[in-house]
Amino acid sequence: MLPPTAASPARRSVRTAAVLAALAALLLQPAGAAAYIGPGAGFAVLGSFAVLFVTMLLAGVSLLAWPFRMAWRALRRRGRTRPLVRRLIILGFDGQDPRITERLMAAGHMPNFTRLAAAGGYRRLRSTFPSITPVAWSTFTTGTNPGKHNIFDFLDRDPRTYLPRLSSTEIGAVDRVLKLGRLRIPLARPAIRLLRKSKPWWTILGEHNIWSTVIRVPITFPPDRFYGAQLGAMCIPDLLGTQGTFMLFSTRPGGEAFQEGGLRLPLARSGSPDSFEGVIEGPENSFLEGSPKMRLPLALALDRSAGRALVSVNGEAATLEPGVLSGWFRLEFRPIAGIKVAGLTRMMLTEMGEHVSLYLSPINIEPAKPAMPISHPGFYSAYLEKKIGPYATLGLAEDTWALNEKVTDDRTFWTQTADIDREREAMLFAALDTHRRGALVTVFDAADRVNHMYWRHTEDGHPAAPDGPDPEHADAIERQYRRNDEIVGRVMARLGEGDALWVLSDHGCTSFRRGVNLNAWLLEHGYLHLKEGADGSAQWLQSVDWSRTRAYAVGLVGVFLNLEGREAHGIVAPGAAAAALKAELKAGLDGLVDEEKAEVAVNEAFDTDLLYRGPYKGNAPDLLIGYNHGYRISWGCAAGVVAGPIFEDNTKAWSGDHIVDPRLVPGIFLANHPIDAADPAIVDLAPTALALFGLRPPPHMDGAPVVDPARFPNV
Amino acid sequence: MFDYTKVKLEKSLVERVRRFAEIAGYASPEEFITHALEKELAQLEEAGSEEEIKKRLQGLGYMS
Amino acid sequence: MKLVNDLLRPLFDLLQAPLAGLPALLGVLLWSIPVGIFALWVFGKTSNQRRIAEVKRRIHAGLFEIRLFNDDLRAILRAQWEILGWVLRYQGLALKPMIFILPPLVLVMAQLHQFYGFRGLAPGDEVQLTVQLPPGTAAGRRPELGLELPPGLRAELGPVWVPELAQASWLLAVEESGAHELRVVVDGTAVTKSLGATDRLLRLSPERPAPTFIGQLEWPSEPPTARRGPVLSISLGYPDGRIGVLGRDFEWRYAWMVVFFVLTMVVALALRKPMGVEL
Repeated sequence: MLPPTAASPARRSVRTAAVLAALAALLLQPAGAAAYIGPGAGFAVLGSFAVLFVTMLLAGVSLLAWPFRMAWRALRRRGRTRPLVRRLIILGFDGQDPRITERLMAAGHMPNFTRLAAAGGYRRLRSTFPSITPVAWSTFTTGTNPGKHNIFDFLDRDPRTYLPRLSSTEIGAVDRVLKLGRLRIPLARPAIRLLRKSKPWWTILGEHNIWSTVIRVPITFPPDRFYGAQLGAMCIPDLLGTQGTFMLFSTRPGGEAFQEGGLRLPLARSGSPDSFEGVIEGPENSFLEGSPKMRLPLALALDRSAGRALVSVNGEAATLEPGVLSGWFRLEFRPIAGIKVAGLTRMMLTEMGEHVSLYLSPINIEPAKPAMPISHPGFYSAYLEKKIGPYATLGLAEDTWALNEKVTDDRTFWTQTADIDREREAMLFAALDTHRRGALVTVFDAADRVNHMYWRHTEDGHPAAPDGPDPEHADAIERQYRRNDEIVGRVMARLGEGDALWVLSDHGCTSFRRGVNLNAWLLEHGYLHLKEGADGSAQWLQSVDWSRTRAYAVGLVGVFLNLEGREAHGIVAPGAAAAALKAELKAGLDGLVDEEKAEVAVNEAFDTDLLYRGPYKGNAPDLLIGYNHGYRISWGCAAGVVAGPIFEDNTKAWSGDHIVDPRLVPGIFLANHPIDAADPAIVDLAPTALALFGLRPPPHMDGAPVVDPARFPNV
Repeated sequence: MFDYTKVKLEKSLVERVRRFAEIAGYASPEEFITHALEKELAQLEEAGSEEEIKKRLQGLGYMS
Repeated sequence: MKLVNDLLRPLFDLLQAPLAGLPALLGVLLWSIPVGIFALWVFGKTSNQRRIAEVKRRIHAGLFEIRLFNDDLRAILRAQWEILGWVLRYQGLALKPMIFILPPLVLVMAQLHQFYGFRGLAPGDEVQLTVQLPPGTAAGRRPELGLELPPGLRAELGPVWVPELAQASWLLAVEESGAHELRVVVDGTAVTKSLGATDRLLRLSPERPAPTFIGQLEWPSEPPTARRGPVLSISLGYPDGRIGVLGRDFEWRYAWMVVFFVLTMVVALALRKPMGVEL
């Protein structure tokens, strides 16, 4: 199903060399009947001798160049280091909650965690404000508070338009193009910029000639450039350029548009009653005037008696069974002759009765020939693909949204998540086997995704709880944590002398039963006003009258003041007036009660002026909302809808969350060495990593090492 | 994307930048200079076209 | 074997007929296309494609690994060692399809060798005719040797009898073009042998083979000599075939094979994607 593609110039030289080698082999053959064997043998010999030839050459060149490279590195190195460890291996389990972890450890269900804690130490790990993935991992990466790394939320708002935008990545447009009739030839690559600032600790290690392999640490798109290898993660887009758009082909007419993250596409009968066709909408073709979407026809033929279907796209076909996810299927779009843009998708027939529906996961950028920079060096993603097979590259690869929209189900989501988890594990072990010195970081996302999507199975009375008992998924979260424990066990088995092992999570998780619409609250209390005649149901704050609005909520974590000189239509004067308004809002939100449930919804609204320090703190929301257990910003508010009640039930599968008071959802930290700090925070880990390699943490870093270096004999 | 180019600055200015970069919490003088320029540019540059923005919004989705 | 040759002979004569007037290189090219496709198809059908793809992927991974860890000598050597292992596995995987590809290919090449391995004679050429008698049959005596030539051929010299080898030779001179048939008479028994004097790419028979399997495999153009007859085989010393590549003329009996081999490979490589075969 997935023919490897001509991946590299190395391949071309392989082919040339193959012909040469075959020729040589033939010339050396004795004359006579034996010569007839030539071409037959050619098929066997083809490539392989050539490959050997090329490897010898590569190895030879590498060996010859080695002394020069070493000399060059020694010249550029900033001072000598005395590492305290040979390797630092870091396993990140995004979102693994300490309460659940501790319960399972106490019950003996996580023996390897327990063993690791006994050999070194276990602590709860203070997360960042806010306790969400992009912020916390950026702090892990840079050893700084958000005021210095500039990531405060998933979304940032453009003060010129009040519209949300991705906080971590900016993809520019190409304005220099050559026009040839309908053709548009771009003369430059679009600039893709990482908006996370400051300096990753692996970059600092690299300046001292210490190699790091960094696999799927969030907020690494585009990837960092340093002495080492990195596979990017959040927020790598899909091939459509979005953060994940699934497709549902269906014969069902109409149907509501998905709120976010999905496309509903028609599936039409073609000829016989059991054959259908549809068109996959691909990325835009920027080579053509007007950038039309590239399209790939898809054909589906049902075999009702056998209960399966044959799907074909691009001349490739796969057999599908209803309710079973296919393997990775390669889609190839051709904007113009000679250029291919390839992606990977997984398909599933969701029904094949009277109506037929086919689900396609978001189209991941193909790692073997990525359409965007997803790794450093550029070929690292291709290397991993060759080493472990095709894998998900999308930042948020597990299709949470299709499950939210009930296009897929709990079982499919579990399969998808578990498969990605296994891909990740294969990457980790591929790196572990080749990595002799330096740092190796791998982040696993499954715990976070499973927390989010299966929390409703663990809590009686959750508004999103399944109708009846569902024994298959009741213990999904525990199963995932136990799997994490197995991964830790397998890594521990491969540790050697001088290897340090850390296991950590960036935050925990708690229940998300009720959504809070902060904009509705601001409207009700007169801080936000709607345009004449608007009912506030428009998305992205389109119905807000900015000339009378003093505060608004955008993104997932906070509230902004409509500040003069900062926002395009700001009306709040900076200084004393702004401070007074902030204090007033804080007083109103601190301890905000959900009357209907008689529960405190907001523990505290934090003044970010006091939380953050650093050059970028001006980009932060003015107030950060610390929700209580069970509460979070509502879906509507996150999409900029003002209308509706302030509090509402969350009935989506996405039923657990951690966008709450960060003190409620710390992460975990385990190490195979003692942890001297009593109350370590995620910001302390970068300085600790540097200290383990014998480096003094630079002054801009905020944390402090959590272990006394004197504990380590020099290696 | 990783394309860099060099710009000439007065030595004394760079020295001042270097001193204050650390105090302000930047990881390097380059980061300080980049940030200062970006802040200035943000005042001058227009936001993207409405269509572009809409497209970008569609791509956001909800996130954890 | 005789039956196979009897079937293949007219078939290849028919197929080669339109190519007889073309330059040898073009003929070889045209032959290499169906042969390449056939070999590719068989390879695709009989090999473990999934494993081959996997093994090739691992070889590529090894190449990338050398690039990635080029500061680490041990990693480079380890990657090289692993590549060697995967290459051996690849060779192993190619063995099975080889078993299926080789026999038909050998037959095809033996046939083509009759057209492209040798050059037809021209008026004025001289050619050596060698008759091999069964070793030992003529011990102690010189057999009765006779030669009956059709018009257009003339015996220049001979017969020369070499008792140690049990061989008799004549030197013939060609006077006219055409497909000639001559008769060698040994102790009263006549055996025929064809001789082609042509400038076209027609079937030549450098040897009328002995009735053995290998002999017939190698020289399929004429029926073998009779079992227990007085003559084992008869060979004609045709000049080597000629093939022009890039404006240069290569005159070597096996030159066409090299070209043919390279061309089949090129065809197979070019078509492996459209045909969906993992090589």
